[in-house]
Amino acid sequence: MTEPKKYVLSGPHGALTFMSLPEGTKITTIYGGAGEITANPGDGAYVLVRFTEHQDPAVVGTEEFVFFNEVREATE
Amino acid sequence: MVAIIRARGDRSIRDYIDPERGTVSRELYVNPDIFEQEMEQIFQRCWLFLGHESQIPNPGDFIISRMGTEEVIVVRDRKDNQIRAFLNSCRHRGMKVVRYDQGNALIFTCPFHAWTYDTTGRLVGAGFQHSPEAYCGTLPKEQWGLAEVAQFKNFYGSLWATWDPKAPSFEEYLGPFTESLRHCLQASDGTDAGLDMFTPFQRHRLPTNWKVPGFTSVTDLTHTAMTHRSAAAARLHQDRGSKGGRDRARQATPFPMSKYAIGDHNLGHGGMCTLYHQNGVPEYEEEWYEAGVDDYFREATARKAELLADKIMAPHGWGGGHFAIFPSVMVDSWRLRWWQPHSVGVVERWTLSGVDKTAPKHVRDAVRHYSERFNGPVGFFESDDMENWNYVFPASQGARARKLDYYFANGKGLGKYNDRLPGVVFNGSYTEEAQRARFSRWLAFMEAASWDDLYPVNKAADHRIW
Ligand code: FES
Ligand SMILES: [Fe+2]
Repeated sequence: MTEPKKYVLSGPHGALTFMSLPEGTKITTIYGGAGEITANPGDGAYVLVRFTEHQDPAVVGTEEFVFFNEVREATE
Repeated sequence: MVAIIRARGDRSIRDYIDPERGTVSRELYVNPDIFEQEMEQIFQRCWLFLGHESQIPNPGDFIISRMGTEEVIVVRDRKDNQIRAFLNSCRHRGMKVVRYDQGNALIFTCPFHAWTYDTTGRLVGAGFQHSPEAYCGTLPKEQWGLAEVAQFKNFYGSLWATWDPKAPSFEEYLGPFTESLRHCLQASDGTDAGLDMFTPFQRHRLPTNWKVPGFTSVTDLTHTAMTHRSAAAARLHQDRGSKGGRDRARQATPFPMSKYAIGDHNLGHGGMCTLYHQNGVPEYEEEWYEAGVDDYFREATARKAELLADKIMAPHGWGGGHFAIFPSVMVDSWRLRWWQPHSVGVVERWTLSGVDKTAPKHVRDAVRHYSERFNGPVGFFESDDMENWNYVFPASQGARARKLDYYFANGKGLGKYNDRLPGVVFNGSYTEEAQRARFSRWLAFMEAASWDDLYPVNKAADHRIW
């Protein structure tokens, strides 16, 4: 089994990669949250994520816009 | 708020208009202090036109429009499909949030510090909002959404808003012009909300005061005779094709109607007016050069005639001439046009031209070409207007010129009320009645402390000054 692709969000192409992360991408946040991208506005600043884990339990199961700086990892 | 600072001798605003002589001081057009007061007293209170729903048909679609000197984002929400309007100014530090004229968005993200707003204007994110070393998750987002207009109205597809929560309803604001506006927004078969506007729409930036076109040129048939003589020579005016104008087939029995210039001095609206004296609609006249277009409109007119078989058609619109809605909108059956003030001597003219929503391509193309012939790259009808408007301002603003008055007394004293449109003064087509009505209302707004002093919130108010 091949490893799922990890997106490189740092470095010269990081911002462009972030802008076009597709729906379904798995996200973890620097605050210990985890979820999946449900929409990408393409502004390079945010992705909309449906959370399965979140530092605020009330957010689990709902969507929140996540700032690029708060994303730890994005995987296919 | 009634006196004007730094004007000649700090005159009261009322001093600038002389109803006896029928004159208006040029200061009203060239004085920046008066302009600032207009933005506060008029544009912060009136119902203003924003655009048409067909410009934003899909969830998330938005356009940038203006209210006075300020930009607003007009957006169709992704969830409830409602259209709303917000000031295009970030609540954090006032950055212009949206820099595109139109588009489709999931959120509007401010490029300064990444505050971001959804299509209902709600603040839904901010850079570092969760950081324990920054916002700590304590930003009260529910209090920091985009500033939304106080009242919004989708009137048969046309979009209007006011910043004033105490403004009367849009229909009260329109008064006896309500049915006429509705009529203008109908398709040619008489069905409601029947228009699609061409996009992108036309904009012209003109070095003149907004009242030059906005107050002075809607219903000015004497200028039509003179300024547009060139267009008449080229057979552009009322001539959409090869057979228009004088070559039109004469109707066997002319449809009974009378034409006027009208003005509602309490509401400020007015313009050209045709009163019809018989049920139904005038017989369709062939006027299109392009093949098949007359067939389309003839059939649509026949359906409209059935709808209106027992009803007199609303005044104006549809061949009845254009009219203005105070302060700065002009309406007729094929376009909505409005003047956006930028500064005392700069205005933008925006024009939306429309066609029946259900029209086939060859009809849409023909109508679009017609509107381009009016003022597109190959048009000149309205370039002639713009030449006047451009030169009026510099020729009026000099230290000597601004001490003079403008003459607005054409037809003064000849107007009469008419039961067909209660409260509206009817006058001869070539008079300046509509322009005087605009100034009656202008003065009322400039003096009023709030809507409590203004008709129709204050039903007892009578703003007619001449
Ligand atoms: S000005 Fe918009 S985020 Fe700061
Ligand atoms: Fe004109």
